[in-house]
Amino acid sequence: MEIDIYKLMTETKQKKIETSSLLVTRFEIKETMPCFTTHGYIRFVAQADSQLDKVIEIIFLKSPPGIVTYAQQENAVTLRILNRLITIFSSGKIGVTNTKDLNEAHEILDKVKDIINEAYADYLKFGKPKPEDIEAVRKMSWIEIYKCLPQTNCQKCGYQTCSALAMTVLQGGAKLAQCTPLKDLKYHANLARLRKTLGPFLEKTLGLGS
Amino acid sequence: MRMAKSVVIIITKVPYGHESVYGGLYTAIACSDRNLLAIVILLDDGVYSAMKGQASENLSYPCIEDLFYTLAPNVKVYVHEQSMVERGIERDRLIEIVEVIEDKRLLALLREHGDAIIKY
Repeated sequence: MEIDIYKLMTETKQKKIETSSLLVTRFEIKETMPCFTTHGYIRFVAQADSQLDKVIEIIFLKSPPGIVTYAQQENAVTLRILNRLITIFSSGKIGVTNTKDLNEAHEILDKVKDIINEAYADYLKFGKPKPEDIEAVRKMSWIEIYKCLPQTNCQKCGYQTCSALAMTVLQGGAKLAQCTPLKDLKYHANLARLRKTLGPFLEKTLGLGS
Repeated sequence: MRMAKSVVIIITKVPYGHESVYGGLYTAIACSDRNLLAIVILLDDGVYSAMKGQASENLSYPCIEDLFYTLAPNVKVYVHEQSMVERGIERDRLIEIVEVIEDKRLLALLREHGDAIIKY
């Protein structure tokens, strides 16, 4: 099952974020350069109308670990989504690769805006993440998820093995809720351990469900 | 002949008035997009390129400060510490994506990744 990672990361948009809690309302495209990976494509940099230091870590925590990189020194986060690399900097700069033209650039920026404002809504709700939460996600690997799964290879999730599901979940390509046996009483301890391992942001992002 | 796996691009010129910096960044992107490890080092007057708040509007020239962000996330940019000191530039006047590097580390970096070195 293919999952739209952008949609996954902006799920609560449907619940409508109040305008007063928007961090970014507009972007200005500043510069473009050629992107040599695809002939005729561009990479570009845009500037948001706000500083983004409050949301960088939250975007990192909210993203499937397999598609996100957090550069602590630069306080920047890079997402591998929408078939390109999108880097969000605390200064409000956004670097985007592999884009067809400026029209597509504006479409991408609209989606980036949603991701940022979603993260800001979480910031207003939960505050700044703790360093240990960041560290936990940094260290997160498919093995940590696999350890908490039933490890029966029952294939009810649609994958051949529990390890295949764990790897795909980490990339944002499947949801943990697909592992229906996890909800059996028998695996109560596994589920509790999984919730503890993931923490509140990742639990939601990786689709563990209630 | 051994193919280079990495390229170090050394920029030593001021950001405006000629196309050296633009050419260096363009080369860095081209290398990175072709799966070469690309590293940019700003040395001597090249350090001015990484300063915040460049107002290039009246020059009819791309803003070099902004262009650095197009290198993200695969190209690492270093600024030579001694060159900064000689010009009285402090870290907080530089854009956040660069890393300051001192002589010893610079030498180690060139030894490790300097398969090909291009100077602008």
